[in-house]
Amino acid sequence: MRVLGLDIGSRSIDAVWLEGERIVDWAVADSGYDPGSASAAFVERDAHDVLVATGYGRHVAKERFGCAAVTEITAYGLGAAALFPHAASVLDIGGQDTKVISLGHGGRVVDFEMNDKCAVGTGKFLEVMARALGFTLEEMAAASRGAESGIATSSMCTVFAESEVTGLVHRGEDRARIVRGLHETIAKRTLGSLKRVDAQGPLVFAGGVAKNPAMVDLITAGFSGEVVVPEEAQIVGAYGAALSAARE
Amino acid sequence: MKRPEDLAMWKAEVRELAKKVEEVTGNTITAGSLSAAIKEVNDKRRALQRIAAACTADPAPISGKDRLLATQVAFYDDVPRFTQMVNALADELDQRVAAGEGVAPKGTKRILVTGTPMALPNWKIHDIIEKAGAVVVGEEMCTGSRYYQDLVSEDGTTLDEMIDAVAEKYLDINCACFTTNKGRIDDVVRMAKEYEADGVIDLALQFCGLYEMESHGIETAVREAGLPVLKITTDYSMEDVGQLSTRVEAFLEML
Repeated sequence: MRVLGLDIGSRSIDAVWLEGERIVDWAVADSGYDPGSASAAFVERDAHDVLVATGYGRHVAKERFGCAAVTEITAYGLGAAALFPHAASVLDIGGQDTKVISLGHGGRVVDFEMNDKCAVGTGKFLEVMARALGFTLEEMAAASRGAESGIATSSMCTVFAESEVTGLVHRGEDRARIVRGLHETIAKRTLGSLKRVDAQGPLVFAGGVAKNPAMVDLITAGFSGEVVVPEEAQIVGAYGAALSAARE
Repeated sequence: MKRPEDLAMWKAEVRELAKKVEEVTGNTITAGSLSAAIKEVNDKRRALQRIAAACTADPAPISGKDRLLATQVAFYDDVPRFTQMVNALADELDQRVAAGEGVAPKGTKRILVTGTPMALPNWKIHDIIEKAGAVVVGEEMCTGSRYYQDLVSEDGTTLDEMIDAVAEKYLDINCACFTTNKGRIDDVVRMAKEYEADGVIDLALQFCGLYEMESHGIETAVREAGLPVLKITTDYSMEDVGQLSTRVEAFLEML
């Protein structure tokens, strides 16, 4: 059976094609302003027997394609546990949400926590800060890793933090130290969430922000157990969504 | 607090209120009129209890959203009219239960909601939960069981005894405004069992510090009773509906 898993997120649409439980292909596209059409392009690209959608666009996909839908939380649990059978917890930092998941047997979700409406500490937050400081995302992560110490910022609201960053820049502060401070604050908040769901190692760090080596460093340093990052951290949700059908 | 000295102070307050009501309305409260009023409002509570009792059935005969609306209206509507209509609704629900008819199929995930009361027209969380495919079977809230589960004693013969009975009933509510509120935790656990809930959603309105403070104790007790809990803090706005839906759906997938 060929299954297509689609993770229609706030920033990207990730697709994974499975044959049985084996990944045969995957792709990533920008969500842009018309995620429906971008999803349709994946759906029409290749023949499949079953389609499962996850992410913010799952309900729209369900209506448009008549497919099944699961939440990102269930999908990330399944995907992470399939990639790392010993995984005990998952951290997914995506474009707009941060999710921490405590796993039971076979990737079953035992407990989870997710941010409310605020996009603090997510991919979106990092993108806004990178732009404010004239960095690409790669340059920002490299600068943060290279900085000796971070400058703490008090506000974690994306809008207020940007104003604060602007203030620091005009004071002549080193932008590498500013981004280091931002990364440290996000890591601290995230580690707090992990503690609240009693996350144990090994922790699978996935989602787009897991591609940021500075974030991976800080989470690894602060977490009590082992931290593993999948090779393609962004497609774990799409993979898990596809698995949810493949296993039925 | 609910110590004897608090009750004494509260009774004095209720007497002040009675005086004020007489002053404002120009009516005199008599043993006869108060006795009739106690009976009338108790009948309203009894009617609401009937709806609640019907919701212990699987499948649940009415959606949580409709039941919540009925409870919210109880605060505003003309009492005898409301009681009559709710009893008619309860008759219909009893028939549905007897026929095995439900608002959702048997086996649909059943959720008990507890926390900050939801004043009319706030049914945001019920809407999210039921759109996600579960059914809300009960509310441990002031717009729920706390409003109707206890009656005012109808045994009083003198006006004084009756005013005392009214005061006693209202001090007995397990609202989070009382310090040491173990009764609420017991109610939540008991209701979760009675209504055969699959999970509990603990709701606090933003800046409703009282329910946020009790949230940890509720969560611990419900988990000890073997049920999962989802804690939600939200407000009246719609901007977090996307994230809340994901959280509620993931919670249901977890059950």
